Amino acid sequence: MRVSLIGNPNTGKTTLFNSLTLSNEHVGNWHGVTVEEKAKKIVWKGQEIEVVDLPGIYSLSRLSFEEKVATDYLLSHQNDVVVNICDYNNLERNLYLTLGLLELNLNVIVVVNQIEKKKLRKINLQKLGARLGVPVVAIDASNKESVKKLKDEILAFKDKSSKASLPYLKDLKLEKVFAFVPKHIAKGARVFYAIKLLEDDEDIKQRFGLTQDFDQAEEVAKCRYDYIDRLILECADKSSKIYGESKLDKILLNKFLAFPIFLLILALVFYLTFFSVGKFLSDLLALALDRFVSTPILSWLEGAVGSSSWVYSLFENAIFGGVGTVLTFLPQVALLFLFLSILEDSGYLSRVAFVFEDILSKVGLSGKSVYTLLMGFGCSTSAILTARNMEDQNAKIKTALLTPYMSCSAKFPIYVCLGGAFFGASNIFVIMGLYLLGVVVAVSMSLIYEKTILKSKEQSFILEFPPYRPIRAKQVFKVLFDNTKEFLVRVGTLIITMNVIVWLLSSFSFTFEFVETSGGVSMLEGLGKIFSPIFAPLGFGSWGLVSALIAGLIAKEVIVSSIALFNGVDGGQSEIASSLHNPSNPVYFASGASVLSYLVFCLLYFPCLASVGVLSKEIGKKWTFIGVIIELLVAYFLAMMVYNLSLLIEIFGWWKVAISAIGMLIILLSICFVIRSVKRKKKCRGCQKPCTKRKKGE
Amino acid sequence: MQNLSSCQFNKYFVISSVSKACPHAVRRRFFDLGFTHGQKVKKVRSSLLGKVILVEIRGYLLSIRTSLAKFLEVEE
Repeated sequence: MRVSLIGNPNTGKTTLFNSLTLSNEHVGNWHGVTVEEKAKKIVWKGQEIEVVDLPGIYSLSRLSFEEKVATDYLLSHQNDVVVNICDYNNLERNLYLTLGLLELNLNVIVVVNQIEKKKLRKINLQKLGARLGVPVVAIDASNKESVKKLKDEILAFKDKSSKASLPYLKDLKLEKVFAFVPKHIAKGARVFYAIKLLEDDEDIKQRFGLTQDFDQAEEVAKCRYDYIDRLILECADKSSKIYGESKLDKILLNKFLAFPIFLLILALVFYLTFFSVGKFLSDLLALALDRFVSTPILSWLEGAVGSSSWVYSLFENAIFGGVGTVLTFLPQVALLFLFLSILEDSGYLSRVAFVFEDILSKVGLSGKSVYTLLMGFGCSTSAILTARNMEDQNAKIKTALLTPYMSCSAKFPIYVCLGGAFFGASNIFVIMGLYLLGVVVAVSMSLIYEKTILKSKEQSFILEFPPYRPIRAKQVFKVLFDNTKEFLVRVGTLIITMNVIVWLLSSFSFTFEFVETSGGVSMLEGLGKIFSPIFAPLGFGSWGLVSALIAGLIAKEVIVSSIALFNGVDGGQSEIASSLHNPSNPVYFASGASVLSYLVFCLLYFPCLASVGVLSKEIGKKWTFIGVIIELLVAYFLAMMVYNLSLLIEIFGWWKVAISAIGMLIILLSICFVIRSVKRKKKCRGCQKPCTKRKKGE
Repeated sequence: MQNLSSCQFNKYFVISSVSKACPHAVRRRFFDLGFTHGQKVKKVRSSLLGKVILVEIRGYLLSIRTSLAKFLEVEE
């Protein structure tokens, strides 16, 4: 049998899906985390049940992407039971969808989920069920016992068919519309289609070959809501409390405090993740790895095969030096994902979207893009998927293309290892600067896209405010555990494989001789040298750096591990740092300027291969190709600019460069001013009347 | 005739209709969300530049672009 879960956005459908099927799908306190249907089979008391999780919707209208997915699924599949999840504290609007489901004559169980501990009012659910004519069950979707009961309820219900009573239907005078519904439509669905016609549903009118306007959408909605009002009046206490309202909003949404608070929160997240707690844990892990894993194994290997053998080199450079270094960043990556998930679950992101709508609508994005872009700090690949629920196609493409500019967690090790080697304690500012640069580039690129090839339509920004939800310890552990696992799997499979490949290519010549003993030129060295002249203007022409960039196309973590490998480093970050100063090494930076330029290039040049795959699936090959080419160009020119600017600063000092920059800015602005005033004068001559605007000015 | 983008803050109004000038899809969305004739509604706050407003309706909160809120006609 098949059971579909459906309900308004952010009512806990996926939480229920996870507890029903013991799965681990991503949930968040944000509308539309689930964007496509997910199905899983379970067996309960000898009966096989396929549970389907559908995206959250407000009605069966097929106006948005989620509504299309969910409505089409319900219309095209045989559903034995439809579990309609409603939020206890927001029941009125949730019941609107329930009525839509009942109009479609589905076998509905209404499940009232209590997410918040506090009830805004008392509701007599039994009475509500009796009035509606369908079972109404109260549950807590994250409670095991409660979910077991629901499973029993579903089994008991599957053979009965629901006898919903919808008294408001007679007010809609459907008989007149039935004539327009084609004969082949099944009896059960005729009411649904008739109402869709009254609502002037373009898709369905087109399908039935109808052109006239029924223009009854308002009446349909009013009839449904009036019925809901009557139900609520009969079954629930009066309440003046508002779902999602909080005193916190007075501060967090204050016109002048909202931005500083958001920036402060972000700064705190980055500080905790990358510098204080995160750094401490990461250093600890590095120490433990060195003491208990790499040193004993290497000394054993040295005794067994000798330090000049290729086996020793494989373990020393490719595995411990490269992968080991990436591994030490585990605590920081896990912490970052934890903080992102706390932000997501708290309900704060809807407020952030509200605050940023002003600015983002100016550059052709929507406040909703904030969610995708913020998630981009974690992992672009999964963040790009969340752009799907944006209404406007162009805004969606833009948001997806901008996400890789956000500095993802895989890029962080590069900043720490390379920046740390040259800037020491002030590297914190370099890292902050890089994150900021990513954001600034993303926003400016959005503006450029908006003005040129991807103009977005006026977007219907309608976003619900969920209540703030406290962070549960269980959730914290789950996120930490999941992300640690994911990171370890990634390092253990993709990164290790990539590193062994890079090691192979850098240790053997084209004639397959082991370079370290024969002294020849390795394959990667040969290849890197072909490309390295391209990067000479950016200040990093050495073949090792270029090869690391090529390897980094697959995954950004490989950049650091390849650098460690090329320089023959077998221990943590500090050893990599000192090796970068040595001119005889394959990876060597002549100055801080070239390090900066390299970091900027790494930040911007290419989303990893997995992201490109997701991009082309989400927005098509054409836009992915254009986006990637633009990214490469942006990275190249910005890196070149940063390199030359910092070279100038290194040679002449801060003061002179700053003064000449300000001077140039003044000259540029005055040129702009002159051009504008010339243009204005022309206009005034044209209108031939005394210009009122000018008079006021004088 | 007042609309939700021009009306006063923190005062209850009653929806009289959703303008026909509103794009069809958005208009239907407003109905789905409960902006029906006679419904009580309150504008709670706006963003810094006033591009979005926060609205209280049917016991929950919703943020809407001001450019769309002007289609929501209200009476006192």
